[in-house]
Amino acid sequence: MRQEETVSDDLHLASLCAKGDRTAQKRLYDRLAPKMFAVCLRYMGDRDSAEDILQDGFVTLFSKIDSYSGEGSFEGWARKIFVNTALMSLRKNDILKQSEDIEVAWGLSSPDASAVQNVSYRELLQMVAKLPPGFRTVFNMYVIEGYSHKEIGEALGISENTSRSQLMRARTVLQGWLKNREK
Amino acid sequence: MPEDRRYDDFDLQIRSMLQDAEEEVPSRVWDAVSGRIAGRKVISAWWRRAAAGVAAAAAAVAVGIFLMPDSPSAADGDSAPVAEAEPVQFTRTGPDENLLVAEPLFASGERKSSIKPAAREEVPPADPDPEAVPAENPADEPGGDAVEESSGKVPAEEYRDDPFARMAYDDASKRSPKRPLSGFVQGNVTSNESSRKPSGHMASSSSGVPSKTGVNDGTSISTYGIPLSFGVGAKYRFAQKWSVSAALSYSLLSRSFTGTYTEVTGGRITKSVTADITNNLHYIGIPVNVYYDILESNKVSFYAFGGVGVEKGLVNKYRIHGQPAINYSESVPGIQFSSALGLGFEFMLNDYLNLYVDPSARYYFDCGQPRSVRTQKPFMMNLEVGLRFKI
Repeated sequence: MRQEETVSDDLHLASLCAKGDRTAQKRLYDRLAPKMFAVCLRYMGDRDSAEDILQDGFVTLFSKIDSYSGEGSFEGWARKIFVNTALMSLRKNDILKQSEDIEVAWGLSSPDASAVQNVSYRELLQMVAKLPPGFRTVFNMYVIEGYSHKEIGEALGISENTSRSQLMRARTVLQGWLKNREK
Repeated sequence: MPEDRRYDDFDLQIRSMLQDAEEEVPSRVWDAVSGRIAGRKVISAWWRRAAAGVAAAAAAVAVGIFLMPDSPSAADGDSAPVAEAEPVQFTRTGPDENLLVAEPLFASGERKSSIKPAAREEVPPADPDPEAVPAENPADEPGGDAVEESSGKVPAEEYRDDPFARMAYDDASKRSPKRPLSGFVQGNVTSNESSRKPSGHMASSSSGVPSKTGVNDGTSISTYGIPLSFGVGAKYRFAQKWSVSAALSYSLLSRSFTGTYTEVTGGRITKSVTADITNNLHYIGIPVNVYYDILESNKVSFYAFGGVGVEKGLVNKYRIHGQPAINYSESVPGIQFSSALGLGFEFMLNDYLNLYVDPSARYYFDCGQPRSVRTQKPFMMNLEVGLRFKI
């Protein structure tokens, strides 16, 4: 019942936004902006670019809001818009093709999930932002957004193996930074 | 290729922390979004607030000046003032020209009108002649006024009862003489919204592993201290209502954030510390301003000014609050340019010392300077307070 009420509220809010109700639009913006900004920051790596993507994302969201049918959560639907907006920007600027040869100096063999618990989410966000764009994008799409390597490959124009390789290197680098922080 | 399950827990931990993460959003984003969806260009709210604030301050100052009572004029007294402080010249008058009359040396005809002749002094004749009729006080002689008129002096009676003429003289005589050159010492505080609440920002080069020793503030939210500056300078009046000033000023910009200090040696990272970091950025600069006097009285002046500033960063210092604490410094490349517009008022404390208050709006151009409150909020409201002393 609660879920139905939430979907109904979302649909009602979406319809008001589609009609140009500024109050409804502001309400929706206030509800989504902090989370979507964190999404943009994870993908773009710097605050100025993230603000631009957030802005573009909301403009796109409001222009397409009448296409939300109530299927799936509204937040999930909105998140896809922002992720796609970020990916378009990264592809457009050829940022995904920039690669940096990170020398992994720590030679870790097994992942240590406990190291993650010792950092704040802001520190973790910093570390993810520090990753090269290619590593960062694949990491975000696979680990946070839950895309498969096949979907990532199609979205970014890379092979599945490249996606796997990028993900592995991203994890290894992150682990190294987490371990180093503990010292 | 099967997925590597070894990282499942690791991925799950990260996802649980970042999936629903939130970040504070600057208000300008909504302004831009609402403007774009409404199909109009948005004029930033802070411009309107700043303009309204400056206009209100100017109006308050103008009202204050006009309502401020002038110091009581001696012209309100029963007797007309005598220009005792004015330089005088003595002229001989009287039938025998043996009377000396003191007359003020006037710069302009208007002042003549407010002056009563000084008391006449009787001077004994140079060569006393026992047979000569002793001179009598010419004032007792009939037609004394005619004598005055015939001597060519300005008849005081014509202006004696003109209170405005007297007031004009009093005002001019009491106002301290304008000296073209004055020095000043100043202190500055700048207020903007980012100095009151943290504003998040990201490092400018955050992609990948650092390739040299330095500090990365990542996605950390910075808390900015109020920018402070102080300096000394000189102001020169080159026209009746126009002045120009130049100063040497020092500024301190501070902030704190959580970031990572990385040491790179031989292309390899040898130390990486994530901790709370305090950053102090030191600048020295030369602001140049042009002033226009709008209103001026003998106690207060009100003026508008505009100018530019050039600053050079001396050093960018970081203190990483780890165990142990680390101090790291960087040089500051380039130059910081800025421009300002403001209104100010100056209180004359005495003949040589004035107190001034100059609220202004200042804009810092993007000159590739290190991150600070200026790069985040380039448009700032500024309050300068200082003392000007006449040289």
